This record gives sequence, C-alpha cells and structure tokens, in this order.
Amino acid sequence: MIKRLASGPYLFWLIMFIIVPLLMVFGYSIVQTDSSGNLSVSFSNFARAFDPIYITVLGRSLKIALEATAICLLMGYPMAMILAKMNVKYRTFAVMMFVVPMWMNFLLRTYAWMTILGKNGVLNGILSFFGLPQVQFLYSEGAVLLGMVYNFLPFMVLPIYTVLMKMDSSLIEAAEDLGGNKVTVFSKVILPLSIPGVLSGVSMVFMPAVSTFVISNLLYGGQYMLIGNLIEQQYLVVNDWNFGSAVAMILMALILISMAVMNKVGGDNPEDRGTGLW
Amino acid sequence: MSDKIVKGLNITKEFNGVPVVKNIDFWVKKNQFLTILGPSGCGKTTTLRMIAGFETPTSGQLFFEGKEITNVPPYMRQINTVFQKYALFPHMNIYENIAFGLRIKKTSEKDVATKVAKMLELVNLSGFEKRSVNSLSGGQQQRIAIARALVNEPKVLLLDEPLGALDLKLRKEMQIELKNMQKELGITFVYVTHDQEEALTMSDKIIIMNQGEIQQIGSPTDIYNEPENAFVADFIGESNIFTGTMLEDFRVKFCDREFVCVDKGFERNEMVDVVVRPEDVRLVPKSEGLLTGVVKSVVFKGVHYEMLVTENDREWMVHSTTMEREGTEVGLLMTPDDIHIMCKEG
Repeated sequence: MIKRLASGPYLFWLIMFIIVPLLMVFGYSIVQTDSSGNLSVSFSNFARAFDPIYITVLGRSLKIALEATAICLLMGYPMAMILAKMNVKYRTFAVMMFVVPMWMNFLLRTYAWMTILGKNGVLNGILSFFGLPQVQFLYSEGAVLLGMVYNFLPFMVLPIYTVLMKMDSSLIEAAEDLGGNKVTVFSKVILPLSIPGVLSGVSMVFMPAVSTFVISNLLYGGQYMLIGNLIEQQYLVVNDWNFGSAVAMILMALILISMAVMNKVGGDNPEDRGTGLW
Repeated sequence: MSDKIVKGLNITKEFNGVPVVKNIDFWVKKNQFLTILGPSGCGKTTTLRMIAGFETPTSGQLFFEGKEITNVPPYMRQINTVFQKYALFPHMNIYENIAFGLRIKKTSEKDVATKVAKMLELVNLSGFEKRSVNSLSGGQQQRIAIARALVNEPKVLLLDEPLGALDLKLRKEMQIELKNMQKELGITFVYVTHDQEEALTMSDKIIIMNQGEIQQIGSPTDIYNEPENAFVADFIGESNIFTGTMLEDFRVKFCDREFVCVDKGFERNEMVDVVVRPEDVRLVPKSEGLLTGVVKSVVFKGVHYEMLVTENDREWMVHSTTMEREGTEVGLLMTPDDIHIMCKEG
C-alpha cells in the first residue's frame, strides 16, 4: 500500500507530462481542418509526409545522424579506453573535462562554433593571416556534423567508459595468459564485453542527432535542413500543428524501430544489458 | 640445474615505492607441486603474477628453462594461470572458453574439438560444451577454468587460491583431484594459498612468505616438524611460543624452569623462541608434570579437545583426545624432542 502511495507522484508526472502530451500530439496528427474550419479524422497528414521533398529531408536527417554517430563512436571509443586506463590521479580530472562543457548552455556552445567558423571568425582569421583565401565553413553540412559530434561526443564516451571501468581486469589477464596479444585481447574480449556500453552510447548520440533542430538552425541556417527543423517550422512558422505532429510521430516511430533493432543485436546477453547509462 | 624450470633471482617488486616482495630467491623443479603459503598481503600473489608476466619485477631476474623471461609478456610464456575468481569469459559458452587458447594458436577446429572433449572429460564435465558460464556452480566454473588453462599443455600451471570460494567439502575433494591431475599430467604446479592445511596436503615443496620475505622453503614434513622461526611455527598449525634462554647445549630455560632439549649450537645465554606444539603437550596428574596449571577452557574440535591451561600468568594450548574439566589442576609434560628452539627474529 505504501509502495503504491509512494509511486503516486511519479504516476501523476508520467501521465500529465508524458502520456497526455503524447496523446495530444497523436491526436493532432490524425485530425485535419478543412477550409470551412470543420475538424475531421484523416491520415492525410501522414500521406503528405511521404512527399518526396519531405522524404529527402528525412533521408538527410538519418544520414547526417548516422554519420555523427559513427564519428562519435570512432572518436569516443579510443577516448573511453584512454580514460579507463589512466592513472586514478588524473582520471577524475580527465572525466571532469568531458563533463564540464555540458554544464554550459547547449545554445551558447553552439553559438561559440558560429564565431569560430564564421566569415570573420577565428578559423578564417588564421587563414587570412597566412594570406590564404577565405573558406565558407559555416552554413554547410560539415558544420552541422561538427556541431553534432562536438555536442554529443560525451554521451558516447561516458557509457563506454563506464563499461570499460567495470570490466573485470582478470578477464583481460586471462586472455593474455592464454596467448592473446593486445590485438586479440581487444577483439575477442574487450570489444565484445563493451558492446552494451557501445549500444547505449550509439542510441544516446543517434536520438538527439536525428531530431535536433537547434544545431542545424544555427550552423546551417533556417531552411528545411533536417526533420527537426521541419517539425519546428510547422509548429512555429507555418502554424500547421497537424502536419508537424504527424512528422513528429513518424520520427518517433523511426527512433523506436532503431532502438528495437539495437536491442536485438546486443540482446543475447541479458545480464550485460543496462551496464551503460541506462 | 636443468630440472629447475622456473627460477627467480633477487626479485623485488614495489608498488608506488612500497616494497611488496623483498629480494627473494626461489626455484621450482620440473613436475613439482610447489605451494607459496602466507597470510594475506605477504606478497605471494604478486610473486605468482610476476611468474605469469602480469607484473614486472622492480629488480631481479626471472628464468624459465634457463632463459631469462623477466620482460617477456604473458602471452609469450608457456605458462598458464587459474585465476582466483575463475575469470571465465561471460560472452562465450564453455566450449568457446576452453577453445580460446587453442584457437589463438591456430589449431585446426578438428583438433580443438578433440582436445576440448578430452579436457571436459578430465574435469568430469563432459556434455557441458553448450552451457553458458553463468549457469555453472562455483565448483564447476573452477573446473572449467582449470580445463581452459590445461588444454594449452602449459609447462607450468599457476593457481592463485583457486579453491578459496568453494565450501569446505568441495575444497577437500578438489584438493585431491588437483593433486591427482598434477601427478597424471606431469605438469609443474605453482599454487598460492593462505590455507596451511591445503598447502600441507598437496605440496611437494612449500615456500612460506611473510611481509614480502621468504621465511622457509621445505617439504611439508620439514616445515611442520622443523619450523625455522616462530612465524613459521605459528603459521603452520597451532603453537605455544615462549621466550627462553639457552643456558648451554641441550639445556634451555623458559617458563621459569630449566628443560632438557635436543638443540645445540646457540650462544651461551642467547635469547631464543621456544615452540611447543599443542599436540605434544600431555596433561598428567599435578605431581608428574614439569609444569603445573589450571584448565581454563575446553573446546571440542571433533578429533580432539582443545584446552587452554593457565600456568602462572602464561597460557598453554593443549590438544588431547581425552578431556579434563575446567578448573582442574593439571601437570604439563613434554619430552625433550617436543621442545623446538629457534633464533629470535630480528
């Protein structure tokens, strides 16, 4: 009974701020207002979302999010390994260095890149100092990718680092003892055992990357760059909440599917699940 | 010389400037069951890890079959280890665990299958190939860990307190099994334990360590009957240890009385440690004893009774198959060869 009471505030929170808004978004997505202001239930919003223009946007979002995730993984895994192997004295400090930027506002961090990459920014300043022609860094896909990698890299490093730290060092020693050199020990023992961390890192980078609109807004400039921008514009500029909701639902379905796929891939060892951050 | 398969010379190991192993010399003979015995923190596991290659000595040299291996990485040594907590790979099944070392050596899958099957038979776990590590009990995991090491046909097998996590009965069974395996396979075993009984049961030779130093090297019988110092006497079995004075050869004074003993070669009036095993003390009627005391407590231990006898302000531990009631005045009797004299430490 007490247990039930204790879960009360959480249940209230869950219903009020997660389930109800979700239902509202779903409601908006299947409703259409015709020219005379009459409401009718229809799936035409979803049909519209499959227009080639929007499919291109969706494809671009997926591609750039996958690229960002791949770069984060390739950079983050070695970083996590270096962190995990560090002397305890310096390790805490180094981990802090990864976390501290997250204390600063996300927008500010992204604005900072604008001043670095901009036409009169730091990078171009250096180029012109050496007499080199200016380069258009900002407002390109590369800039968006950079912004994503920069902002989401800690979310890749930390779960992998956690798994590597928890790994029983005697397993690594056992592999060495049985004749494994550094490469074999990594590929046969360390990597397979760190998969849960990799999976949570991948989903924690991929999900915000595929739905972001701030990074692309600031570093690419306002057009229908990514699916996040599309949703944002439908809500705030075009004022078509119904279509915006439909696209949001599609994005959510995509994320759910990709998570399910990842759980399948890494799910053969139930005990290892959740070794990452969640 | 060639029968010394592993040899350590002046080995010292420091961690952050703190010495854990202090300048020790040791060797292991081929086909020997050698046990490194000592209390926790004595440096025994560090010594084993240096033989395995997981730690590099701060100074000193290690030899394997006459060749120096001080800086050879573990994967290039013909030595395998059975870890304290088994360290089986949780993402592989039993078959894959045992096959791990063979596959690294590019053994053909056919040979791998034959050898794994043979090993599973050796450790009495045939039919467990497809099982996951987590579905096995501690004792079974331990056997798999042994199989995984032995399948590589190492010249030396290192065992780091492998039976520590098992219950008493299983531990005793495994002790006998391990000893049989070692005899059958003719592999040199280096075994680390803090359990003196385990060491006495299984070993051909025991190295006793304390605070990073070797206290005594010898056969189990030697170490039990002729401990070289009070630490060894106290660590191997129970002991009554008193401070005494060597009056002259074969005569020692302790507990305010002179005794005849079988030791000689000490300085006149040298201060010594006198060790008497509890099972060597006989309780006799007060008038027949060399010393007299009062029984303070009696504990039944199964095979014998363990009695504490207060003699003046000293306490004697006595093991006997017959019991005296608490509060009884008794005499304590021992023969000259039950009195062991050893040099004072330090």
